[in-house]
Amino acid sequence: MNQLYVSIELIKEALRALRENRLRSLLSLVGIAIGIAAVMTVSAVSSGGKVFVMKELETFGLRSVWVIRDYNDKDPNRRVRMGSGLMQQDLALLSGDCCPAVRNISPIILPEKRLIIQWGNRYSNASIKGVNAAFLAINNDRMKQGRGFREQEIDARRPVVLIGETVSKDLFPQVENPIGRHLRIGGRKYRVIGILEYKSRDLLASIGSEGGEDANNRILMPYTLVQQMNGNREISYLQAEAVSLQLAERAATQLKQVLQRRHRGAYQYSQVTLASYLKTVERILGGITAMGVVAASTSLLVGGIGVAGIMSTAVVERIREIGVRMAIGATRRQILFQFLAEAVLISVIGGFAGLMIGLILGGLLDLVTGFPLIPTSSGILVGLLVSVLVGLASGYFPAQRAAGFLPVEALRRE
Amino acid sequence: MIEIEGLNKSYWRAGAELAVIHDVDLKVDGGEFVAIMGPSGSGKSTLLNIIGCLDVADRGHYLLSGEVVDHAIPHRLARLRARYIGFIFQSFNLIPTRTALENVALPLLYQGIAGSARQQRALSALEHVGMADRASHLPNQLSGGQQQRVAIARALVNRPSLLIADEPTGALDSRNSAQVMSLFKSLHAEGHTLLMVTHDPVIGEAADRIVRLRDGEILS
Repeated sequence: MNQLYVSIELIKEALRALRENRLRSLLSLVGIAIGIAAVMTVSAVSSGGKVFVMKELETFGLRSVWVIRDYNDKDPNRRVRMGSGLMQQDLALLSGDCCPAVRNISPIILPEKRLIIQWGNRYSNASIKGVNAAFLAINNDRMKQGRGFREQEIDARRPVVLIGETVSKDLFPQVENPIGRHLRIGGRKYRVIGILEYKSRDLLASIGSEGGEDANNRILMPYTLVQQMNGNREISYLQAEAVSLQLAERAATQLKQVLQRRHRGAYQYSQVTLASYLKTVERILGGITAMGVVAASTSLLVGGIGVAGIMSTAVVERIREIGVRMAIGATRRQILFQFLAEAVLISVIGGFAGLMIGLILGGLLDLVTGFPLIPTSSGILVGLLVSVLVGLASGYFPAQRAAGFLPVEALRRE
Repeated sequence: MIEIEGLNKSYWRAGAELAVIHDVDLKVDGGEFVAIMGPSGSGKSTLLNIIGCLDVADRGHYLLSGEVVDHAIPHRLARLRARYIGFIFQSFNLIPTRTALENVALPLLYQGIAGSARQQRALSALEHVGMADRASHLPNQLSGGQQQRVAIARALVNRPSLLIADEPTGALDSRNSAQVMSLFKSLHAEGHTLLMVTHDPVIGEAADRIVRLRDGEILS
């Protein structure tokens, strides 16, 4: 109990010493503050980045898999074939219980001709996709207004469409509720039954993986209608939803195998899964984090060396005071503790300042760039823990030195 | 109070052993005021440091208040200093950034005495030396004599059984010296045991007994 009390008093002494050398203390904690701020920012960037990317990837449905004919198949032994290698009948087969790893599947059919989209004298350049009723679920699409497709609307080729926000703004800028309005596509009238919720793909668009397609400038219609317009029963490609993220690759493989068997190897298919993108994203973020950690550790190391240097000078400067304290009854352990406490305090105060800087910096960056920096509690905890450790490490040798003086010799020094 | 037998201490200088204290025997009773005198290099400061538990002898025996000191480890020496000894230095050795009161209270901190009790005891120690009205002054706001009186208060605050003073008037003018010496006399009169090193015969006169050292040996 007494020991604890003395320890607290010694920490107060250390604090006083810091206050008495305000400038020096301040200078020495800057290095630590920068280091911890760097640690904080790195952890916030990586967690924020992950959230940011995940949010955009979620707009495709994280469990999405795509199957498309591999047009690059250059096997000279095979006859050159036209077409997408995906037919209406294939869909019926794939929708059955052929593929246990697949939950939902939608054909995607793109119009072969360019179609004019208009409402009155307003026009839209939206991209048109023919899909089925499962498409919305696969893509995590939600309705801002109205509703999605019904099965029978698909089967009966009802002329109904879902439109993205951009389309809605382009065609119906003044209309409060475009639901129920009829727009014209390729000369035919289609009733708007729903408006799709806004989807952000800014980051993906900026790195080009979105192919320049604006996720909000699209019109969805029953695929059966697009087939009718195209005049054939081909399917451009398939998008399906795996039962789980882990089974995404297997789901795609199952679909491919069924198709290859059915067409007796006439076509080759390729698969794309969002799961593989996720891995890439995680790898990239991991790389960024690792680089950041190296940079942050370097600045912490430099900060720690700074504290060690300053503590060493402090010990030399105060050698006589150390002698006096020893003469009036301070034990070596108490001297050691006091100087160690000084180093740890510098470091922890620096660490705390660093946390604050990190938080403010993160907030500013968020404001300016819109990139969310999410400070993690583990990042904060690690930051504080690391600053304690840096303080102990950098203070140990100077404190050891202070405690090691012989009182007679310390008192003799000027 | 102090029993020393066959004490030896030597230093190594330029590869040669230099005996500083040679076979010293000394006995000081409780309540005595003893002055150790001798020319510089006679080993009087070294002897005082050993008695004050700042240093240890190479050989010989040292009993302080019945406790065997001899070759105690630093930790035990620190405990002995805290418990039995109050130091008064030639150059006062007050911590310049602390007030008189804080300086006086400092030894109590290392004993784990609570803050309020520290304050009270420090204040009464300052009263004892007539410096209570300067409690909140910093050392550089005090004259040399005043600083030395604060230092004496600091030495007293632990209620030590032995006060050790190394040339306590060495840095003071004659008026301040006289003040400090009269303080020493009154402390002696109160029953404190004082051991003082000086080379000034006038100062030495104040003591009950003078121990003369030359070349590390006691002459008388």
